[in-house]
Amino acid sequence: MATQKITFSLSNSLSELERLSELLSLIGEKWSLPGKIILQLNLALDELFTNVVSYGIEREPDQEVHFTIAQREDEIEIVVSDGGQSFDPTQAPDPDLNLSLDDQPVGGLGIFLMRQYTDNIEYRRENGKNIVTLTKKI
Amino acid sequence: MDIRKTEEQGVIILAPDGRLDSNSAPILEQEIGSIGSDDEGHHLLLDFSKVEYISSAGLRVVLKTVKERQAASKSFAVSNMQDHVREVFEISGFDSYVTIHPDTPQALANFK
Repeated sequence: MATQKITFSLSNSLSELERLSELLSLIGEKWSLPGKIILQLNLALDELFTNVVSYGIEREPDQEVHFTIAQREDEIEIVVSDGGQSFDPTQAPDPDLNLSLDDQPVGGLGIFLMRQYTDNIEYRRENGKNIVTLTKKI
Repeated sequence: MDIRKTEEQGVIILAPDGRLDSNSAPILEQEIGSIGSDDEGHHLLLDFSKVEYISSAGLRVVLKTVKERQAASKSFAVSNMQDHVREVFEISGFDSYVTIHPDTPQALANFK
């Protein structure tokens, strides 16, 4: 199957999550992807976007987060880039799911969920941008 | 996010409607927080039948609620989870922290 590719940008506001979800649903329909794949990709991208907006570029209101989504053969590859401060999600520690309730910190789960719902995550810092590449087998 | 609040058999039931992400989770957190001294002694049930999606931000609100309710010796449960939402709870290990019931009648029966 030939590579199909779609790019879009979201402004750095959490209210854009609704648009992210709508865009992914449209891509899922256009490329005939299973609903479960779209839900899982939505969660992975939601967690990454939320991290970028909450910690990376919150003080720079005009920044956008760019997404390129490509389908090739049996996988989806998504490249997410932003011009905020350096943030490498591949270095974030996983939460300890065996902790008792009292010891469980309220947070730290987002990157864990992103890892659970993708097959590979790569990070590079290039020209002042964070570039995260996620791949998911379909 | 709309949240329907009802009371049944001494249980306050909050039913959020929609996606529970980092944008909407603070609304639910605030609604839970507003169940304050007026409702002292009541049990709390989150009816998730209309929650089609949850992210870690939603899980955080649930975990915070579990901790607060336990600290105050008040009971709390979640019911009617859709499959995808339930899966996120299970992957995160949250199903071991929070009481999950398949439907509202079972949740109400267990509060007694």
